[in-house]
Formats: sequence, structure tokens, C-alpha cells
Amino acid sequence: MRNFLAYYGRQLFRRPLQETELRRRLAIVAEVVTLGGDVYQGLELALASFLVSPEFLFRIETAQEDPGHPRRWRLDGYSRAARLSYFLWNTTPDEALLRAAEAGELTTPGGLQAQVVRLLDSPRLDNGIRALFSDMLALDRFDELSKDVSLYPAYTPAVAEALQEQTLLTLTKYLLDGEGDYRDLFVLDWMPMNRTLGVVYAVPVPWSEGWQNYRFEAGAARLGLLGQASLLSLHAHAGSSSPTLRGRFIRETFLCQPIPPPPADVDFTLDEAFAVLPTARERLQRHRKETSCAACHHLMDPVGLTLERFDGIGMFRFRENSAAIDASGELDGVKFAGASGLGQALQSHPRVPGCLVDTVFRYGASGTEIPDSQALQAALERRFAKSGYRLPALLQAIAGNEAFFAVSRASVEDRS
Amino acid sequence: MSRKSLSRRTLLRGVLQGSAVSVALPLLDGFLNSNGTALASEAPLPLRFGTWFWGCGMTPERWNPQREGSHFELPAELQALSAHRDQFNVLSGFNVHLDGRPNQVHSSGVVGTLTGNAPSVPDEFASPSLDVLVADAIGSGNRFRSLEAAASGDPRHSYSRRSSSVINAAEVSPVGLYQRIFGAGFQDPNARDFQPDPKLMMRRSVLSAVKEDRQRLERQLSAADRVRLDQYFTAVRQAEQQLNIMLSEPQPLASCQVPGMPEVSDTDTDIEVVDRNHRQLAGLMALAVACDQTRVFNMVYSPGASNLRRAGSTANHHQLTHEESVDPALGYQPRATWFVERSMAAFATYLDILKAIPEGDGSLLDNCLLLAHSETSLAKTHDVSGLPLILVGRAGGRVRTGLHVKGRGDAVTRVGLTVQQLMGLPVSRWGTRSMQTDRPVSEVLA
Amino acid sequence: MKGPIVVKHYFTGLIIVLLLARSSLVLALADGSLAEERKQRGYVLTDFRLVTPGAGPGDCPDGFNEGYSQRFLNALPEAERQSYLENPRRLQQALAPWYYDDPEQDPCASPGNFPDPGMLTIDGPLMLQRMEPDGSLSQRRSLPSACPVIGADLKERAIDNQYWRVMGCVRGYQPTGQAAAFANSFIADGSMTVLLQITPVTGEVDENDLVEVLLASSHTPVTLGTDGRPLPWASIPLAEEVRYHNRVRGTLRDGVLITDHFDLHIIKAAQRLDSELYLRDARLRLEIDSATGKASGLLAGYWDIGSLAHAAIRIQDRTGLSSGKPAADTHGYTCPGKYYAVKRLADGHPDPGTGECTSISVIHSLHAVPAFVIERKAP
Repeated sequence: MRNFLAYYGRQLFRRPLQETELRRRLAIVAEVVTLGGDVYQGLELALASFLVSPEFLFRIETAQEDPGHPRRWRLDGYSRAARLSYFLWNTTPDEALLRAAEAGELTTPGGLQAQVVRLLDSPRLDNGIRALFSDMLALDRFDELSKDVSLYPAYTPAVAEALQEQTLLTLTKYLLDGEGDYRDLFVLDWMPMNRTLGVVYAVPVPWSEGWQNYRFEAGAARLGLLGQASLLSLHAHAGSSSPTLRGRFIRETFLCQPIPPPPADVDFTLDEAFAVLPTARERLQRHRKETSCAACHHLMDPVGLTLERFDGIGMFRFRENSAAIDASGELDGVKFAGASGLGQALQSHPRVPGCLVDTVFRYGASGTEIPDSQALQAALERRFAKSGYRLPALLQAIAGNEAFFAVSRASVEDRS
Repeated sequence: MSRKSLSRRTLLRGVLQGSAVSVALPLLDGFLNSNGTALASEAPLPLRFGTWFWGCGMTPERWNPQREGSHFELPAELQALSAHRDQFNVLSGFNVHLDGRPNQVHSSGVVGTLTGNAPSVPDEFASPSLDVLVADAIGSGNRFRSLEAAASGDPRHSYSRRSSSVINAAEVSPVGLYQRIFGAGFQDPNARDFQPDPKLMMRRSVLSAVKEDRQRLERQLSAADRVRLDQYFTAVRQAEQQLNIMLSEPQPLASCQVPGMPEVSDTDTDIEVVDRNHRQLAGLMALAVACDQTRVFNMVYSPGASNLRRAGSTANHHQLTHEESVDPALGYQPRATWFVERSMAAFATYLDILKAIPEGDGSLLDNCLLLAHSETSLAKTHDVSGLPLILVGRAGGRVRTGLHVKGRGDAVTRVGLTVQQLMGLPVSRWGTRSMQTDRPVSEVLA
Repeated sequence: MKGPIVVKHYFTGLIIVLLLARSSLVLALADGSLAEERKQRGYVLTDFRLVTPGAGPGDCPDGFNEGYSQRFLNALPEAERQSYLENPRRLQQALAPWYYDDPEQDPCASPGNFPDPGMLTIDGPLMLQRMEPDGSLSQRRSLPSACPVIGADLKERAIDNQYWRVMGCVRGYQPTGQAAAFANSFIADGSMTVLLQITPVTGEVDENDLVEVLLASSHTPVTLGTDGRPLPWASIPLAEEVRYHNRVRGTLRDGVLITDHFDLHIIKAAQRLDSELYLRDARLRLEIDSATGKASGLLAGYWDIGSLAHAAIRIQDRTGLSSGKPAADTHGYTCPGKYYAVKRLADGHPDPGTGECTSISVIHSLHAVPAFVIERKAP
């Protein structure tokens, strides 16, 4: 019984149980038997006590002093195992990883590399990548997203679900299975398609079940990740598109350029003179006329306006309120038009790869502060570039780096 | 033990978005008792579920409120419920998805709502009806797992079914229902001796272990981390308190009174007779619930393809829905709609009766969840989209009321899933084919 | 007497041409193509119903027809009638059976086995929409059309709507009645899906307007939006049965499609019903709205009386029984009455032996949105 509880406790807590923790579980079994239950009921409740314990529900990381560098702190072996496993697999460490932690291998460069390579080779990596991009693109916002029924009747629950899947499939197929160049993600001319989404993209879907790649004709209005209706729907209002929200999303997510919130004294009341204008481009002129707005909106609106041929749920349109849509715009001095122009501009934008490096690192390290981040960032960017901007190479560079497990002084002191 | 699976993703979600860590609380909730009702209410009053069915639906233009949320106006066919408007939610725009199966007229709507599956033949219950699922979870400790009554006078007018062939037959006469509840075998709920449930005491030992884990961890955490885990710590403390309440002697059921024997009455399809019987059956049903003889109670006012009629008219409600022309000036069928309005008036009476029984600080209705439903929206075309659904009662504080929620064509299974989760069933997904859903109607959750 | 009023729809085409000249960019559809492009286009019907304009004043001088229950009550002495009025169950029993095991005994499955109880129909001059031999629509006041002589070319005649004359004095067939309410629910509830595909004909012919039209049933329900209406741009496969693939040539000129005459079968199964529509020498006239890509129009043709009797008098039920009698009572007519009225007003396809007409003109209206018609590949 003791071995049984110790075995499952280790799996669930992602570390060996302390003696007090184990004794408490044995006490549960004894108490149940005293109250008239049998041993199996006792074990059932003892296991349940693991599942509601904070040690199971939260990942609690433990730091230790680096024996090679006194007064420098780093994660211990079991915390490393959990960090690696959640980063790459989005799940709890498997037996092999726990054994490596137990044997102290994860604190040696060779032992760490061996485990990282094993994790990257596993089919479970797919789940890890899905979790990474779901977080990066905030796909969980789909749970609360609602669209006006009379304007967007095509936005059904089935469509909302399929849109997220389409984007995640694109990312795993292209970046992982195809080991594609991350920069070309913005100019892909295909995307996985199913019957449900054929209605949104207005394309024929001859296959009745499941997903197959649909290739858009040369010169089609849609290109790349930003032509996907998932992102176009997420960054729009319930009853209209939003060049501002789309521009902000692109700046913040793919260029890592945070946009400050609007100043507190902004007068949001509709200016009738602008509100009656037929297209978003004309209505947004107001942003340019007021200097307090213009400072930030010039970063967002000219980018987002290039996606204006996609309505609030990402369906294609040529006109808004009967007026033809002008989809021209610019990004950091590069002028272009439409989703394809935007995709090409992002493909060649120098900040795009570095932003992914930063994002993936912060995700993997659960947002904790990393010491020496600038030098590390530069080194990781070089590795990423050298690999031809392949995501698996970036993951390996991050997970195999000792800095990934470093702990800043501040977070250690705070704990005392 | 609960079979709920904990989504680990929820723990990590929002790492990049900087939002708070969210904890999967249902697990804590679920482990306290097998029904997961432990955290529901401050006082340990029993939680109950009821259904109220009427046939031949409604007229969408005269039933569905326009505005969503709390500031909607009651349309003509819901006017009768105005005295109760703060106690219920109107759910419009929820559909039974047929998925290519034929519309089994007057059957697909009700079976789809109650089983989450569109029947392939009429009255096919591929799985138990919603009330049976709930009764299996919350009703097994009571004298009657559930009670059924039909004001329309036919014992077969019951949608409480374990399978296509196992029907929980309805009591149709007040005398019959009285004898069933208060005749031989009636147990006064206030006479019994209280014994703490040893199973709950075992569960308390689990919480003691977790309490130690929690205290150990709290000592190690930074102030910032402690804030992040606050939601969890609060939940654990609440669970501890709740368990203590459940292990102490409950308050007596002050409102349980044994009524006198009702007078013998006829059954008929004449709506005036049905109304009289309905009033009597409702009174008995309410007392059966107040005396904790059952926690699941189902009432049929009129069956699907309603055979109710007005004295002197050859056409019953169902016939009128098909035969009566739409009045061009009014835009609807005046004689058919009269039956809808009368049905809602009867439902208002039902709610009056449940509300008249005090319980705790409020009424019996406050500790109930009641689903009123029908088999069609517009009966004229057997329409199973936009079904009329009313969710009444606060279920011991678990439900927000006074709202109009638009389903926008979503599967009606979202409503059934909501009911099951509110009643503490460990169900995360319900329904078949395109009606399978994991999304409860979160707007009504308190 | 005034001469016939002919409204020909040449104007529509003219207006479209003018619009095109003004700005062609704005006519692009959601798939990025232009409405006037010569390319294959698919549609799915969102609305398909009999044209039942409603009885005008004086159309039914003797009132509306009565169903089985009302006829039974009318025949009773006043005193006896009251007891039935107070007890609908008794009335139902008196008129039983409503469903027959033996089709020969069933007045709706075998109406010809029973004497004609009479049916009130619109027999006088009537203003009705019809389709002219050139495919244009006209509306003029006229008497019922007669059964043509054997050998007469139907293609030379306008297609009338004599079926409306049969049903015009039936309560359930008025625009406020049961039939109209049901008409469209069958598409939305997924039991009836009809596809349309227009393909430009190229190659041997050099006529620019020539198209091949496919009108076909599908077993796949339409895709509904959150507003409960069918969505455009769904990919919908044809039914496997080639019986329901009806092909015909036509011309598409200035947004107006007019087909040649063709025979067609489409599935008309819905709720309890299990039947098909068989029209002979039908023509489709469709106007395509270049701004929205939506299409609407009329399907005119001759309803084969055998098919009509099965679908609209016998009313084949999925259970194999005939629902004709309860349906007739609901709408307000009798089955033999309707059967003999259809035969009397039949105006198409005279039997070479007897000279009696075997079909009756009927017009359906339809609306459609763009869709992708998926043709199943041969295994």
C-alpha cells in the first residue's frame, strides 16, 4: 500500500513524496477502515487527496543553489522535468523524464540534451505546439466571442470550433511536420479546409469528411496566416471588422511591439460626420485628425486597413456599404495592399523572427524573469536564423539552454 | 468518485496573456459528494429538479422576447408569467438538430430536448430522459426517485422515460396522486433520527490531508504567488466549512404538511377540467417535494400534439394549429394561440403554488430548478427550431434569473447539459451527433 | 372585353446592362468572381413552393370546400349535431377509419374507386401568371385552359397554373393556410435539398449564351446560419440516384436563365411524407441578382397526375400508410373530389388512346443562394 501510494504520488506531484505527505495518505486509509469502509475505498480517497492537492493542481517550481556558481540559483531536477514536459508536450513528465531528474541528468549538459531530443522526437510534441500557439494567439478568446446574428449568420458554433482547429492544423502541419521556414507562414497559399469552413471561405470542398489542404489560386485575395478567418474574427467587433484591433494584434503578437491603451480622456462619442461615412478607412480619418490619437493609431490603422476586404468574421467582400474598399496601407515604411501584401511585408520584416524567439521563451519559462535576457535573446536569434527559421530548432535551442532553467535573484528572495 | 477529468491546460492558460491562473474547481466540488452539490447552498436544503410540459408550442412572433439580457419585455404569449418574471429565464433560439433524420412530428422536439438525440423513429428514447438522469443522481435517497402527473388525464402522457419502452407513468387524478404520496408508506421527514453519513466523514479525512499540503505550501509562497492561488485556497476552505454543515443535523422541513384528501374529480380533455385537475395535482406535488418524498417531479399539462379543447369546439388545440388560417389582420392564428396563453396561465399557477410554500429565507421554488418546455416552436409546421424553453427557480442560489438568452440556433442540448451540471452531475459533454455539446448556457449560471 | 395584358420582362435585362456599364468592379461575388463571367455556377434552393396566389373576391362564388368532418356535421339534423360538437372524440370515431390497411378501401389511395362528391374549383375567368412559349412571364385574365388534342405540340403553348384552379377554393391552400406554412419548412428542416448548376456550353457551339442546367436533389441537409436560414457557399453533394439528376439546356442572357422543356424528378420527402415531384415538359426561368449573387424565379411544368395522386392525394407516409384522409380534412377537401377535379382541369399530355389529359399545369416559385454542387465520382 505504501509503495502504491508512493508510486502514484510521484506521478501526480511530479516528484517523490515527502515522508509527511505519504504518511498523511496512509492515515486516510486507516481512518476509512475505522469508519467501516474497506481498503479499496481508503485507497480511492487517498488518491483523490492527491488530485485536489495544490501540489498536483499547480506546478510548483523549486530552486537550488548552483554548486558550480555559488549565489546563483537554478531549478532543481524535478522542476526542470516539469518545465520541459509542459513546454514541449503540454503535459506532466513521463517516467523517463522523472528518472532522468532523479539521476541528476537534467542538470548536466549531455543529460539535458538527450532528454530534449527525445521530447522533440515524440508525437506528443504536436500537443505542445498546439498549446503554445493557442496561448500566443489567444485562441481561448473564441469561447467568449460572439457575432451579430443578422450580420454574420455564417458564424455558427461549428464554424467557431473549426476556425481554431484550422489555424492549429496549419501551424503544426507547416512548422512541425513540414519543418517550414517560420517567415513563410505569412505567405502560405494553402490552408487545411473542411466542409464547415468552405462556407466561410466560399470555396468548394469536395471531400465530405475531415481536413484536406486547399490551395488558393495564384493572385487570390487570401494569403498566409493573416488570411485565416480565425484571426480575422478574433480581432474584429461583434458587428464589424476593426482595422485598429487587427493592426494592434499584428504589432503586439508578431512584432512584439506593445501599443499603449487609449488615453483616459478620449472622447469616444461618435462623431456623426465620420460615422456616416461608408468605409472604415474614411471613418478612421478621425484618428489621424486628433493628435492624441494619431500617435498610436498610425501604428495600427494603416496595417489593419490592408485586411479590410475581410469582414467581421473574415469573409471576403469587395464593398462596404456599397462603396468599394481600398485595401492599401503600410508597415514601417513599406507600402502595399491587401492581405497578400501584408503577408509579404511581414515575411521580410526583420523583427518577426526575434519576436517569436522572445514569445516562445517566455511561454516555456512560464513568464518568469530570466537573467541576462538580452544576450540570450541575441544568441537564440542567431541559432534560429542559422536553422533557416525552423521551429523545432528554436525549441531545441531554448529547451537545451541552461539559461532556460536559471532563476533570478528577485524571485528567490521574494520567497523568503 | 467523480470521473471528471481536470484540464491541465487551464492551469497554464494565459501565461503569455498575463491573466490570472485559473484553477479547475469542479474537481474539488465533485469530490465532496458524488452529486457535487456540496458547494451549492449555504444551508443544506435539498436541491430539486422538475419539468413542466405543454403541447403544441407557441407562436414565435408572440413568444420570443426581442431584447437579450435582463431588460426584455414579455411578449403576449408570456404575459401570464409577469408576476414571476424575476424568477425565470426565457431561452429562445435553441434547436433540435435533425442531422438528416426525418422530423418525427410532435416527437423529435421533446425527445431531442430530453435525451440530446433526435429520434430515428417516433418516441425513441435512445437514452434516459433528462429528469431520469437527474433523478438517478439526486433522487435515489428519497422515497420516490421521481413523481409524474398529467393534468390531461392519460397516464401515458409522461416524457419521463428510462428507455423507449420503460415509461414512468403519470398519475392523472388528484386522489391517485394523494394516495401515492400521503397514503400507506408515507414517512414523516421530520421524524427520523439524524446520523452523520460515514461516507462524508471519510471524505473529511481527505480534506485534512489537503489542508496540510495547503498550509505547508502557503508558508513557502511569495505574496504574489499567494494571491494567484487565492481562488484555490478559498475553495478549499469553503469545502471544509460545507462538509461540516453536512455532517451536522439538518433543520426540520418546516413546510411539510400533510394535506387532506382531495375530492374525486373527472378527467377530460376540456381545458377547464384540465385546469382544475392541474391545480390540484400541482398542490399535491408541491407538498410531496416540501416533505422531501421526492426531489424530481414532472408535470404534463397537455401532451405533444395537444388534445386539449374548448367546450363547443370540434377542433382541439392540435387540429387548430393546422386547420386554422392565419388571421391576416393579426398575423397569427387567434384560436390556436388562445391555448398557448392558457397553458402559460396554468404554468403561472403552478409557480404560484410552489412559491406559496416557504422554505429557508425564501420559497420552495428558490430551491428548485424547473424546466418548462414543449415539442415544437410553431406547431403548424412542426418546427423544432427555436423551441420554447423556460428555466425557473434559483436552484438554491446556483442560477441567475430574470434573463432572456438567445441560443442563435445552437443545439438544445446546451440547456440539458446546463441542467445536469447545475444538479451536480459529473457531465462535461452531452448529446449525440451535431447536438453533442460541452457548452452550458453560462449566462444563467450564478 | 379588354385584350390580354402581357407584361414581358425585357426591362430587367436592360437595367442590368446599364448597371454593368457603370461599374463592373462592384459586381464581384464573395468568391471573388464577377457575376457576368462565363463560368460554372452552383446554387442551392432556399425556398421552393407552389404558386398559390389566394382566392380573390368572386373566385369562389360558392365558398370554400369542406373536409370530411364538416361534411359529416352538415349532413346531420341540428339536434344530433350538437352532441358531436361537444365531443370531438366521438366525431373522430364516427369518421373512422382515418388510415386504411387496404388501399382499395382508402378513398385517398384509390380515389377513382369512389364516386365524385364534387369539388369547388375556380372555373371562371382568372388573372394568373403563366409562362409563355418564349420563356417570358405574362399575366392575363383568362378562362381555364382545355385539354389539347392528341398530337398538339405543348411547347407551342403557354404553361398555365391549372393546379391553382383545383386548389383555389381550399382553405388550407390560401396564403394564410397550412400548405403555405409548410412549403418552406421542408428545406430548413433538412428533409428536402435541391441543387442547381449552370454550366456554360463551349466547344462545338459558338452561341455565347448557351448553358447546360442541372436541377437535382441532394440527401444532404442545407447548412443553416445562426438566423435559421440556409447559408450560401455550402458544398453539397448530389443524390446518388441519377433519376434525380435532371439536365436541360438553356440560355443565360443578361442575368436571366430560361431553359428548354424537360422532364424532372425531385425528392419531396419531408416529415411524415415520402414522395417525389414528377413534372413533364417543365421550364425553369431564373433571374440572377448580379449584386448579391442570389437567384429567384419560377419552375413551370405539367405535373403528372399519377405522381400528383401519390404525393398530393394519397400522401404517402413513411410508415407505408396513406395520410391522405387526415390531410384532406385538415386542409378542407375530400380525396375523390380533388382527384376528379384534377382530371377535369388537366391540360397536358393527352393519352393517345382516350384523349384524356394525364398531367396538369402547375407553377412553383423558387429562391436560391450560391452553393458548390459536388458531383460524386464514379467508384
